[in-house]
Amino acid sequence: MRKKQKTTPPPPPRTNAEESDLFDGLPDDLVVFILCKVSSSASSPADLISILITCKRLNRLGVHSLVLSKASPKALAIRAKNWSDSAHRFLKLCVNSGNIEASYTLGMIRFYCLQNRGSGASLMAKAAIKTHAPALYSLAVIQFNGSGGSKNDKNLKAGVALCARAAFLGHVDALRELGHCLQDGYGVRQNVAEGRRLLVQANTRELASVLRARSASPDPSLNGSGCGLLSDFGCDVVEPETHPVNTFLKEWFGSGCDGSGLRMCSHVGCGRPETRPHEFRRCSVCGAVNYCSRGCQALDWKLRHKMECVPMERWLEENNGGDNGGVGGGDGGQEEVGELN
Amino acid sequence: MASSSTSVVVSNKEKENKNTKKVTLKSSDGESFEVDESVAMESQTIKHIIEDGHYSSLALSLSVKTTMASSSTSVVVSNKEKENKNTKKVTLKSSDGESFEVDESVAMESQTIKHIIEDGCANNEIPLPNVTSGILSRVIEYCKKHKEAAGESEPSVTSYTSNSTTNPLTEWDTEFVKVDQNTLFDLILAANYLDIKGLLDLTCKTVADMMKGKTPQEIRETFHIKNDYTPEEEAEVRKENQWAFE
Repeated sequence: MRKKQKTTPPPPPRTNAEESDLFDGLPDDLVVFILCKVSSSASSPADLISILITCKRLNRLGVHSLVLSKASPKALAIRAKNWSDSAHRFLKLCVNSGNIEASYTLGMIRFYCLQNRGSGASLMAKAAIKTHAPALYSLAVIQFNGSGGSKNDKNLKAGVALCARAAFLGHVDALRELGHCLQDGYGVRQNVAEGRRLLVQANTRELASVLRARSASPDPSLNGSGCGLLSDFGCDVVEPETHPVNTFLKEWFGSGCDGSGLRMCSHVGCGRPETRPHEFRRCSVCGAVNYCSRGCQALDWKLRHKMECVPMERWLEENNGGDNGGVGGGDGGQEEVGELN
Repeated sequence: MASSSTSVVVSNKEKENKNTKKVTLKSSDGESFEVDESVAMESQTIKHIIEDGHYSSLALSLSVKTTMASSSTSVVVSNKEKENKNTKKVTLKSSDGESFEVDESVAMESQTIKHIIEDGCANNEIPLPNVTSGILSRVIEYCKKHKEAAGESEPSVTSYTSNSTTNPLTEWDTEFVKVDQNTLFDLILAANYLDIKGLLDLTCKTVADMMKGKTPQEIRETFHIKNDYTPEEEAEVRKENQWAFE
């Protein structure tokens, strides 16, 4: 047992290992300012979350609503295999701070993965109201397909309206979707010329964003990974970068065939599953692939399916359902011609 | 003397060649007062009108009629600076007693100093008790560089490739923040106190970039953060945030 010291011991000498915490000198608002810059430029959730683990003060300030409201899409890019209650809580915190990316992400996850249609749709609507283009487009797809409800819940006009708003903001998938709707007179009066114009515009935008990405980051891998097919402008079009939440959906549903026979959109960048049997349209040439929307179908055709699409005469002849997940027309007879664009 | 000096004025390519100009102020009852522009600029209202350019053509035609009043203006005519005002200087005094004399326009990069000057409290020196001399000299260096660059780029050459990597200031900025961490954090505090937005953004962005891509332990080591979690608390926090890591 130590003798009680009569005098206060001198403070321990400051060794090199014991330099004072640099953040101690900064007031809270400056630390929050710095953390906002971290969250808005983070390239993965770990960038921000690592900071929360360092000490109590940074943990408290790291979940300040200002910091969370500025979190970039990549900062919210949760991996499906890591999904947990705590991840859910974090996303909810971000939603509450007003982060519309988080609203969209959580909305998609709740709608498709957690099967909570109402909450998912309302979260996406929250983002859509703040003119979040992907949210507007996703809601359009839901309206077109009547996802989460029955065949009769399809609302083509609402779908077109939402699509138009997303397209107005420059969303490439929405432009494509709207172009096809105009060409086919689907939910809107047919106007083939206008539709064609929108499709060309979609390709232009896509090319522009690819070129911009190439010039911003001269990544050699990006230059060489053209898909090998010619776009409207006769040059390689790199597959567009997918939103982190589509990657999440893709991982969540794995190979795409779960027991209930619900399929996934065959476009690799999409990841959306059906919410009821035969919800999606299929390629009427081969019948082997399904798509949630015309936009996905067109893109997949360009990127991949054109090379492997083979007419199946057997499928065309038979009328009853086969063994593999059902044949016959898609929902309500919405047959799609295989060749588009 | 008058005609030769005014021909210098007219041939001067600088946009704002203020000091040889006089301006005429007309009162509500019609009486006109001709004063030096620099004198008239004591009024912020008139200063803004002139700076907005609403006055420029009139001022130019007026300048042809002016006579050269004092020799100080001839010094100013030969001055190559864009804003050809009388280069007023202010003195900034750091916390450890060192004085720095700088152009007023450079000092006005700091909103805090700007307000002090505009409120008329800057007759002697401006004391800055929160800033040491080492940091203050760096801050002044930053303000000078950015003021110069702002002055040069005013003939707005619209560059279509306004990519930040081709901006020469960005390279200078990157070199500027290559300092030890204590200095960096002191710069943050100084930029906050002096309210210099560009410097604050730059320094905070530097710190933010230093925090990214590291494990928690590495972040602690970099910034000498003390881990005040007990082992149990830390395990809990790690578990709560496990979803973010591969």
